[in-house]
Amino acid sequence: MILYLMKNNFKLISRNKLAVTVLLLGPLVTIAMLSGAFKEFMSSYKVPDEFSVGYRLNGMDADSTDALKDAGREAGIELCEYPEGDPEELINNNGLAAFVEFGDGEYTLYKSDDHKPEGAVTEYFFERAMNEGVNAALDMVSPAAEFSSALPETELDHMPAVDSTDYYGIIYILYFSCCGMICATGMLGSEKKNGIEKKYRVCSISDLGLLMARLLPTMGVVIVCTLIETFVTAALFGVHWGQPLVSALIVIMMILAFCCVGFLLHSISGNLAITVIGLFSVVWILGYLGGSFETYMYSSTSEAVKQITPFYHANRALVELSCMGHSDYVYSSLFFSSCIAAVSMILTIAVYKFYKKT
Amino acid sequence: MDEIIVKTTELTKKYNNKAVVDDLSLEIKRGEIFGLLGPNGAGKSTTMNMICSLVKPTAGKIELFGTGSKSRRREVIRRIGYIPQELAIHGNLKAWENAELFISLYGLKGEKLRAAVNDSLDYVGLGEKRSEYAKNFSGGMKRRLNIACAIGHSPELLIFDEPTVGIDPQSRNFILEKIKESNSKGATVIYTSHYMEEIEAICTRIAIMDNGRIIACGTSAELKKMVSGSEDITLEEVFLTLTGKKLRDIAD
Repeated sequence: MILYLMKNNFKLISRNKLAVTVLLLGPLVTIAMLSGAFKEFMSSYKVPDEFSVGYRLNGMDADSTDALKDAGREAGIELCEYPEGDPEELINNNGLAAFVEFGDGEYTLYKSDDHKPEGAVTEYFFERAMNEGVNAALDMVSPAAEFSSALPETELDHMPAVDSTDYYGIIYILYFSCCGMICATGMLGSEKKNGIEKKYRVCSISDLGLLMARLLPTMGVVIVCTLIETFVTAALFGVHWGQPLVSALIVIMMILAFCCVGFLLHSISGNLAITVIGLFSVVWILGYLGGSFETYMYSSTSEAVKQITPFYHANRALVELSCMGHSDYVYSSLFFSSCIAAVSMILTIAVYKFYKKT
Repeated sequence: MDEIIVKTTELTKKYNNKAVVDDLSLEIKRGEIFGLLGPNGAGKSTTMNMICSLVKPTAGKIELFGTGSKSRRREVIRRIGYIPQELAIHGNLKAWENAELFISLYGLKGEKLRAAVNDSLDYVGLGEKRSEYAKNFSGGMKRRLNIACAIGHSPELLIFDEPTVGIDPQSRNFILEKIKESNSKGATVIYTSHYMEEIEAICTRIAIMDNGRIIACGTSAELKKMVSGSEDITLEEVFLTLTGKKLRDIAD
């Protein structure tokens, strides 16, 4: 029973030419505009060949730093020791990109607002050096001396510089895909206008079945549109995706999550305009916090807020897969989207049941 | 003894403490075409919606096909065909796609579904238009498609909620003929309309509702005799005598 309903809903959705056109052209136009407009912006974040970083040892063996200094030099980081003084003042007065204060089993990194890219590279360098040894940090440049330290793990907060076309190409395909539920407006509008919801309620279809019969065809159309956009942007602009299967899984799960959010909003409001505005607002806000407009690497959004934003995890996973071939954010992205989808589905069915009772 | 298909006992529906349907008890037997007449706001649609499980009663009991069990709702509901007042079809689907969608909701699939789709479209005279989009149909054709979508699963109880609103006399006549034909094949019918001549032409028994209650029930002849003592008046006169001539500006 549900298969026939899904099949015909798929036809209804795909015949909504306006919504499908918006879904197809939206990312293409946005990517073309933004990747061009932000080319200079992104290239301004290119890290200079050499820059200076201050450091101070508080109880750490001075001999241990020699290997680190050698490795830093080869990576273009000049490590200068400053035994005294306020780190922030030292950064400002000496034109340092960052300052590292080593303590007992930990280190604190101070970064300059004027040298964000260099600060990010420094953080990346020390992260790898402290967690995996100098050799790992030197993978960026060349093999070097050994270094051992029992410092705690900290989170990786940097990735290599990424081209604006790749960044915005990937991010906007994801962004528009998450708004893709709008293509279901034709189907939902027809259901409401013609009193078809009543007919669903007088047949034996379950609430879950009804949700699936709406959700899966919507997702199907959005996925097809996303696939077309991906190929077109790859051909026209040279957008490069990494790990196609993993990237596809991340994008599909995000589509699922935000389609579910859209259907939840529709079940609560029963109004298409509110649903569309609500979904766009949710996606815009989460996208804003997660790097869809301002690149997440250099955005002013606090780390804590970024971490609770599903777009940050998905954007970061996709961009890192593209430029590094791997990402620690794949699982967290899938976790976030799965949770959003599950919670939204449960709530939607609860709302369906509530309205049925009343 | 005739089998009771629909039985309501002290059925009540209140909105904001105002009874829209008030203590309504009625029985509809197998093979009847039962007409429900009433002015706007009388409670006809609410009664129909409660019978179809679209609206939950505030009080009272509904038995369909001899059972009032909620656990058997799915089984019972498959034996009902509901033709709403709205044109419950998708304009962007072709006639056969609409029929397939709605008939499949009642559990038909594969060859049985294909046959049911073809039969129901032929039945309402849309067999040759099966591949046309519903949005291009005339009002009468849309009404017929609406009926085809609701009867494809061969329901035993057909519920028509004003199915002839806004269509030409030919289409209306065609629909009424088809309702009688369905009835002659064994379907029980509940029918609401504001057109008295339609009710009189096809209904075997008529209930007149007002203020949520049935104020009179019987055959057309019985109602006429009850009001004037003879059959020389029209059903409309019976209706106006029982419900009054005051305007009812209330949403039904």
